[in-house]
Amino acid sequence: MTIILRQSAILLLFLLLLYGLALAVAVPIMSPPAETNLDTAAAARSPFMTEPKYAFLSRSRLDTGDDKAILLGASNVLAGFRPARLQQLVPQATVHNLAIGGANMTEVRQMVDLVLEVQSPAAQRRNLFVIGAWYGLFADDRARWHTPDRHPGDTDLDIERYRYGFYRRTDDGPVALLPPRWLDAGVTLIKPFLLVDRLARDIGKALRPARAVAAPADQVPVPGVERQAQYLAFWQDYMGGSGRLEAAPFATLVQTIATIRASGGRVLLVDLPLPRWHASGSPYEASYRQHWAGLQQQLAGTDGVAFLSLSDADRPEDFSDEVHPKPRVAEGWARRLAGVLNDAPGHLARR
Amino acid sequence: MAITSLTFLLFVAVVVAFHLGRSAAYRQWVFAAANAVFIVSQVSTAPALAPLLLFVALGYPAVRWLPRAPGWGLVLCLVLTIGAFVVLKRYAFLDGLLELPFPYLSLGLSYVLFRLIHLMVDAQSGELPAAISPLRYFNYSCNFLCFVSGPIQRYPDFAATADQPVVLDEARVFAAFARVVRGFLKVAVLSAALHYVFGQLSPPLLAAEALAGARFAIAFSAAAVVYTLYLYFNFSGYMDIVIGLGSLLGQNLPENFRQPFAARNFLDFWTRWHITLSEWFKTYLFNPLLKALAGRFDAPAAMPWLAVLAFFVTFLVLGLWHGTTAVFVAYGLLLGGGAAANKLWQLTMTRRLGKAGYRALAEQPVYRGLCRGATFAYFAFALVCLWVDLAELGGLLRTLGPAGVAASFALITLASALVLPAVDFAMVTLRRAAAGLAVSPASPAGFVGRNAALAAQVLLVLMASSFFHKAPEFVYRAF
Repeated sequence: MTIILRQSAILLLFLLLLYGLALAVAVPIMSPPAETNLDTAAAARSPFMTEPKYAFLSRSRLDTGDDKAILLGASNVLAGFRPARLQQLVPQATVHNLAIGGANMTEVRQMVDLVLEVQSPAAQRRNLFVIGAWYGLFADDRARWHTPDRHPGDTDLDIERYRYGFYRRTDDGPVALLPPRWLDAGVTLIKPFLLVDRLARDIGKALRPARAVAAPADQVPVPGVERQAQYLAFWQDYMGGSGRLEAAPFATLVQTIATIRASGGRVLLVDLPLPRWHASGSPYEASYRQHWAGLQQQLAGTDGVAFLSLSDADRPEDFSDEVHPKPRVAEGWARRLAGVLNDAPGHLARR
Repeated sequence: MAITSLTFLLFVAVVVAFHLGRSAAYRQWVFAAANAVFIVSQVSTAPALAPLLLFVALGYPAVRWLPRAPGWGLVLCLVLTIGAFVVLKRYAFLDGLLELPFPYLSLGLSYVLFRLIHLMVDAQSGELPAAISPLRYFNYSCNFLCFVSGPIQRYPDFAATADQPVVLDEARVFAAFARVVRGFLKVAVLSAALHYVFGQLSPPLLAAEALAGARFAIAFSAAAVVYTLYLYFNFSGYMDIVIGLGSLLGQNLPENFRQPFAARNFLDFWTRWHITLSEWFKTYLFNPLLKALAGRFDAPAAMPWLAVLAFFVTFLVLGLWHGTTAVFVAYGLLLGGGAAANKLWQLTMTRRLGKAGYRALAEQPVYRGLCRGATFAYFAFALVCLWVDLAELGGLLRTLGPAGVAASFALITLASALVLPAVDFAMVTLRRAAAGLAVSPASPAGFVGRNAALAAQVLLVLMASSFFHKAPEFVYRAF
């Protein structure tokens, strides 16, 4: 047994030495994002590379005493609300966009929990979560997260939780192994992993054949009938195919709002538009409208909860595809959102 | 508890710590406890264990009875054992008949069956060294290291090491560590990377809208090759882990792989791939079958042709064993057909060229390379049955068409004929270079070098594991 223990200790020692060397190389190279506004759209240029990893590993920067508008949702929130522009329009608060492409309500709920767990109670009271909603946000977990490439039910955020051992998988869900207050230390320790990941991705990108350059998003024409049908078929499949939304994701939204309210924060629910042809062609849109009306009724008069509807901004020529607004349209979205944020009672109000 | 998990490594560390006693009886009890804990860790409810335990338990009286049983006793025991196995494995052809109405553990059942049949047959023929105690029987049939997927160790080899005290020295311990780390490197890095690539290649092949002609054949060939390599690294890596850990427990588990892609023909391949399985089939199916056929057709000239038939039947059954659904009939037919065709080719060429002429042909580099490539290509084709169902296999073949099948086979054969020798050359060169750099393991430089190399491999495994957030399953777990 002594020989086995000795060999284990030697191996561990060499491993620590090698890892120390790797840290000495990786830490200076992989410096964290310097921007004031967290923006998952900038993930590819950051050491974190992907939106979920960026949101998961950079969230400790939200533990500040200033007013914060934290945008959550899917990729249309990323495309429609650029934090740098919003910051100019909402100078009293720091605007962060932690939306993740393909997120559904479960993942938004997880993001809220992950933000709150790294914040002090004082920081939590200065949060205003802006949640961008449309029917895709209410995709059923079974359709969205039960795919062959992942453990059944794992969201993209769950994958990041387990990837570096910060969390442990249990029957009752993820359990933190790394205390949230040590998140930054943990991020520093995994920098050799991030560096290797970065190198692997860069090499992979260099080896892949170059793709045809797409037209600038602002110049993309409205899709033809055949393309529209393909888009609708994709979303029909993506949502699970039943043609209607379940009540569970809306209940998750209500619970999420209650959690935010209990922490002293506020919520702005933004009803995001779809191009007219998409909204009228998808059975999920009607189901979404029905649930949304019920939600508005349920939350009417709730302190710290507000609604903003952008659903009138549905001109097909304002979208670069079936969901995402063109960059020029994002300016209009930003102004309308800034108007509500600046009128919000409390710390965010223009003084 | 998965074999490639940290939990399993910690479990083995505890077992090793308790297992180092001098008394053989004490070690047997420790080992039995380890086996029991491992099996219990695979289920969440006690009833789920019952069928497997009953299956194992009923084998014991049979093994004790068979040395003095009449000739029909063995047949009876084999029929009952194999029948119970077929029911417990829920073979598709039973269509739910006799299915137990609750979920239960069927993991490891196939390998337990191999060990039971070995014990029964050898017990009756008097080849077992001595009467087996219940504890020794349990430890052999449910050895946690070999439980999930072998290797299939023979009982006399198991008993020989079980009686010896475990003697560990620095060289053995380092070799065991190195073997385990190499196994993890194969499973967590190579097989995971190949699994990822296969995951990118295969969906377009099975999609409703197939790729066009030549692109489909090329994509199919690439997927078949990548899956074959993935399976090799996955399975051989797993074997490295259990053999390495077994070494720390004083067990000399048999090797299951010996450079399979160096095989020059299909029959040679099966002496290098899943060796303990093919040895088992040779001992308990091929040899008795050939003997029976020879007894029935008492003509020496017919013997080679009877061997062709025996090869076909043996490999057909070996293929069928791999799964419970209809596609495994196709797999069995492909394996059986390959083995029979290989034997027929050998007979024909020997008849035409004479033994010396055929031997000379077999040594020609071009012929040798093509044979090697064709062997790889044929096995890669057969393995398609492991990643599709019967309907998908039909769809693939329809899309490929006879020309596509021939083109894909030729493509893989030629590519393998060129690449495999190049890989051999690179490996030999690297080994020579490493030997040139080698210093005495006892010297300080040797000590630092080998431990640094081992630590670097562990680091690589850890980093690769973070890339592939969902590690590929151990493929043979399903068989």
